[in-house]
Amino acid sequence: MSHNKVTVAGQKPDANGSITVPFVSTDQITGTPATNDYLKWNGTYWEPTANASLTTGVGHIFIGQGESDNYSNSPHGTGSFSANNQIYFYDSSPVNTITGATITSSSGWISSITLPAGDYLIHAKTLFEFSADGYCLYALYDGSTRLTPGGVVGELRSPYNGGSDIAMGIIQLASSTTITIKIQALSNVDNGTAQGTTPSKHNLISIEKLS
Amino acid sequence: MSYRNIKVNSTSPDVSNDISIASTNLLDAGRAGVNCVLRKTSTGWGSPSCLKSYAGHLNFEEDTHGGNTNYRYDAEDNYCTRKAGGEYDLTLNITFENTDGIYAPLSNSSWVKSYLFNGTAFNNKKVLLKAVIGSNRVFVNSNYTIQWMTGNPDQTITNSTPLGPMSYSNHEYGSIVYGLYTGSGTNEYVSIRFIDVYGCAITTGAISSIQSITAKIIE
Repeated sequence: MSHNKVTVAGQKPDANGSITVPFVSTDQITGTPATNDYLKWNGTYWEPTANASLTTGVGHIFIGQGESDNYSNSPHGTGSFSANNQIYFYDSSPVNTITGATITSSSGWISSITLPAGDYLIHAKTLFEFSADGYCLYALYDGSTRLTPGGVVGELRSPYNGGSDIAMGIIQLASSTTITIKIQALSNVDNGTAQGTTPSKHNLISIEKLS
Repeated sequence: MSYRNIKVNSTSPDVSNDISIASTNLLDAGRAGVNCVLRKTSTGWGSPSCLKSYAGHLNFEEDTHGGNTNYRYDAEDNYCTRKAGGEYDLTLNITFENTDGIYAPLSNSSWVKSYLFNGTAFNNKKVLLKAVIGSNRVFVNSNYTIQWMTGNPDQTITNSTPLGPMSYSNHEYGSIVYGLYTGSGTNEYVSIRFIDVYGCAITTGAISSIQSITAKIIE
């Protein structure tokens, strides 16, 4: 066997029997990459991609733009609130760049978020109207399982030592999971009609995928 | 000549006449790591971290500096934050705008009313904004509602665009206000604007000691 018959990735040995193989041969690349470009597979070729256009984060969700819509338009309707009620969040065009995540909504009112397996940093908050001094404690849930500590709003937060309005935590999901925000405890939260646009203007869900 | 004399990328066959070449043997600018991508260098291909290196984060240093209760906010004003000095280490691409004009309660170079994001540095980048705002105790039942916005801080709030939901705070409880800014490629102002306000002066020393503003690029 002669070394002259040997090729590696189409490259013949030189006079010293050495073959230099490029990381990506030119017939696998479309176009000419510039310094600092990245390679992105387009289905047929590696395609040079400019640094500025590369999406490098692992994804995030941002819900809440301060928009106005009556809470009575949400699936909750006009009725009163009680413990374990789901809280709905309004956003006519929520941001979602997490691959595999879905936001379930109707007429802009978001009822749940389904996240693929992974680790996430989550912040959620809202604001309610009260018929008298009171409070509303809420948290993120997977079904009946609470995933985060609670956030609390209202003028009478003393049962929770004046806690913050942020429900926040890092959650680790082993498989696809649908999360909701539910009321854990409450006092004097006014009914759906009386909420008006207060929740829609103040509600927030911010999710950063960590891994 | 035997095939044993053949080298591929300077690697000779082993005793089994095998030439194993891992991707890291082919890179000339560092080893591949988890989630890394291929990146063209001036001489070949490297595999740096896919996380970009940013010099645009914003962070406020702790400071305790009392304001003046005569400086009272009105609706549409920009929320003013006391500068301490150390925060500039992380703000290479964000210019702090001193408080002045009709939408700030005072003119003072030690206070910030808005942040000018460099268009080139933040082009097509998404920035998560968070601000911890203290409660206000000038009056019982004082309260305010604030919101991150982008737009000229010296113009009426109707010329600005919200970047997130509103956040309510009263004389007993502070709040955190969130925003998501996407760079358009041009220099843009970002500030916290008052939507509603009652009985709130610019700050007190205790309040300025707990306020915090961060800007973090997330994509």
